[in-house]
Amino acid sequence: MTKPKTAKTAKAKKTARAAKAAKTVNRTIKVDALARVEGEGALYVRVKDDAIQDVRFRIFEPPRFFEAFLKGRIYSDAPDITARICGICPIAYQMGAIQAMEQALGVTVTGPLRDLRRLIYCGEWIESHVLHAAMLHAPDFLGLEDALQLAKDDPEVVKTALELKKLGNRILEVVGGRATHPINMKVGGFYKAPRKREVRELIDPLKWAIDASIRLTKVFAGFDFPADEHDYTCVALRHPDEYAIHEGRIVSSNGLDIAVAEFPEHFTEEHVEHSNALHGMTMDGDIYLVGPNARYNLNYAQLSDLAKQTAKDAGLGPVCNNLFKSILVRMVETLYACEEALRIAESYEEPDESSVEVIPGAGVGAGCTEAPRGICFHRYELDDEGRILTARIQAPTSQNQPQIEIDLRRIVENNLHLPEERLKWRCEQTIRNYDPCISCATHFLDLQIERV
Amino acid sequence: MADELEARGVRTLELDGEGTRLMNAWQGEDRVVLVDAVRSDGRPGTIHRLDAIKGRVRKNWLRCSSHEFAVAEAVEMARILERLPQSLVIFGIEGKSYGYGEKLTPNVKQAVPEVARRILLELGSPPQN
Repeated sequence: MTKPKTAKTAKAKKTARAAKAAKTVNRTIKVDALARVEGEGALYVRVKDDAIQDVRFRIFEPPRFFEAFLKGRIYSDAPDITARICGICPIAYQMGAIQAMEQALGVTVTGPLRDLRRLIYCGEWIESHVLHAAMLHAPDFLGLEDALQLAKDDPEVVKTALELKKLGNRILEVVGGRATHPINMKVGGFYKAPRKREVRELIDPLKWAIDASIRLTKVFAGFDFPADEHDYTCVALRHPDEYAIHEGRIVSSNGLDIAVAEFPEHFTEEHVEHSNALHGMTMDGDIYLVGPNARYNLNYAQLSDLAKQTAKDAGLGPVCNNLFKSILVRMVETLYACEEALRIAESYEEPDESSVEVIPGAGVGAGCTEAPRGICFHRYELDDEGRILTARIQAPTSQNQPQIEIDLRRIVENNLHLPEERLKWRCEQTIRNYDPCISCATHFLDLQIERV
Repeated sequence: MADELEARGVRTLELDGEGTRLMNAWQGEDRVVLVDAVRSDGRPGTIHRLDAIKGRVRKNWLRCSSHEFAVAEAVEMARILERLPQSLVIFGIEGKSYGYGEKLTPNVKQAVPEVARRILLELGSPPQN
């Protein structure tokens, strides 16, 4: 039996960095588990005779206080409370909660108010996708440590990305009142409809953004993508009239086609021993994929002609089962979101009323939207006064987690010949393919490969 | 703290610490002071001061954020792209607990008016007693 060998861990490197830093600022800096990051990832792999015995991807997620926080609160508090779950995709949480409440209370939002919802969601897609693709994911393909290196090597890419991201922010500010934890959305519509002038001012920047996203897609298409394909079971929203972003039915590549409210009958989540995060799966125990590639694979036909052409030029077919190329899919979706935002901005007229009337009462409702990382499901039960009796929120990252484990197992299996550092890099890259809401965790990734 | 500074004529912004928003917020400004929580195993309530124009910001120093691209990355990125304000001073307050929904611990709470006082001094507007 050979002696167990542990890879030089990220932690060891960090300790060295911390020691160096400590010298400079004259204090010890410890970088163990940090509590307020949205998660910390650790990957454990056991290999015996060049065969994998065990792969465990662990996420420490803060306990789910939010569902408990919501109990007893009035229905209208839910959007602003759930917006706090994530600083990167507050709109996803707000809108899921809003739609669930509207279903529970029998409210439908249409016309310009519905357009504004799609517009603000486009803003969130733009800023989240660009941040991930350009600042967090692209450096992986260039062999660069981080976006700072990228800024030195190719400042134009970074400047373009920052400008695009800023426009996403601006959309959130105009429609949502502010970019950080927007405050303007409510059950029934908006507190205040944005001024026509402010929305129209988005038009020119959006025209620039369409070109800019095509340019970035071209740059990223030149990357060297690891060959890796998997037959994913994709799950996404689908809408009859548009590439689904903020509403639709839930469909899968296995032919599932259900109303959002039926989600709990078909999908579950499970506590697994090695992770605090809940792992999502279908009722039959099948593992599935949500997010950009799932949407693209299921709803390609509904993309705009320009988005399809850009995808084609980037080497993507109508189906993309190599998640390393998710960076391209994110950029195609960014482009589409810019086109959609432009279309809405060009035709925007201030509505007479900024919201429809909501009468509190008892009910049960579900809502689901396509967060940048994939479907985000909400369900609430309300009492006679409209207070929350139960809340259930299923975030995309927990749904993807079992699929991430499967991808990691395959990647490790196919790359065991790589030196430890290269293998670790490839694993981190695999996790970043998902833009997990633990993207903060990916640099804390503590990879242990035990060879027995 | 923000309210107190506003009352003294300092323009303040509360941000969630996402790096690109920080860069947008300070770009083109003359004098910027940034306040954040620090976690370096020091005594809770300890006040740190760093001149970000003069010195690099270590990645792990301000790691109380849930963002991968956060304060340190934003400062260094802005340095590379020449988008730093003319003056950028960072005040960090050593925290004690970082859980959800918890209030400031007494040591940290005590540090807040002191940091506000030092910010006003920094900006050449001595606090009134």
